[in-house]
Amino acid sequence: MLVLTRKCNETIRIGSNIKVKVLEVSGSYVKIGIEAPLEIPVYREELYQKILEENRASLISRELDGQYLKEVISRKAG
Amino acid sequence: MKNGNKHPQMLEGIEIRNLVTVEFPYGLPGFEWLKRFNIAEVKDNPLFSLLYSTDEPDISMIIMKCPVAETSEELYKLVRKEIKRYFGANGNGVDIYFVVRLEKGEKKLIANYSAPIVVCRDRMVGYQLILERDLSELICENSNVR
Repeated sequence: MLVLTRKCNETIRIGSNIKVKVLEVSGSYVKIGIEAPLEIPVYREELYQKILEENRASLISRELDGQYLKEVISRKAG
Repeated sequence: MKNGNKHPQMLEGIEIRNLVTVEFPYGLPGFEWLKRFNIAEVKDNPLFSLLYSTDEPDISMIIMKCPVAETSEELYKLVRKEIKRYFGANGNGVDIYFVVRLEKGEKKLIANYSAPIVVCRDRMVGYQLILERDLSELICENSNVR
């Protein structure tokens, strides 16, 4: 991992079009501003990890009985 | 409309009324290397579909079409910015789905309302959004889905 030391209001550039700026440091919190192209998604890591785990837990198991799946998926909402 | 040719074993016995292939430029969280997924709509059930990778069909999950009207202003207030980011549009022509987890013991389906999958019907391109806010309250207030 590349480690850089920055002061408040200093910036890091990633590639030609992503800028990460330290906006505020307060106790153990750091407020960061990110400028990135719209098509580059930026997430808090813990949120991404949570969705990643949810997706993995949502996989339909190969061992699942086909009839059971059919029964479940054929139910209407309610 | 392109159709993948490998189907998951689990689909056997389930009648499919429509099958489309969607490109996911970033894959899905947890499956970032998989860029193409089929959406198989289940016959006689407008709510549920199966989403599975064209390359690894065993990577498959149940998805639920957003039960809130496409025209819901409230819904689009929450996801419009994200949809605009990817499709440069106001949300028209974009289908919204939620990944559903199967609770095996209790035969319960649990939808993940904080990470909708959005699919642009014209371009057949999709993304899974990661929202800071969960949409469950909005969905429950505006539909009969819990």
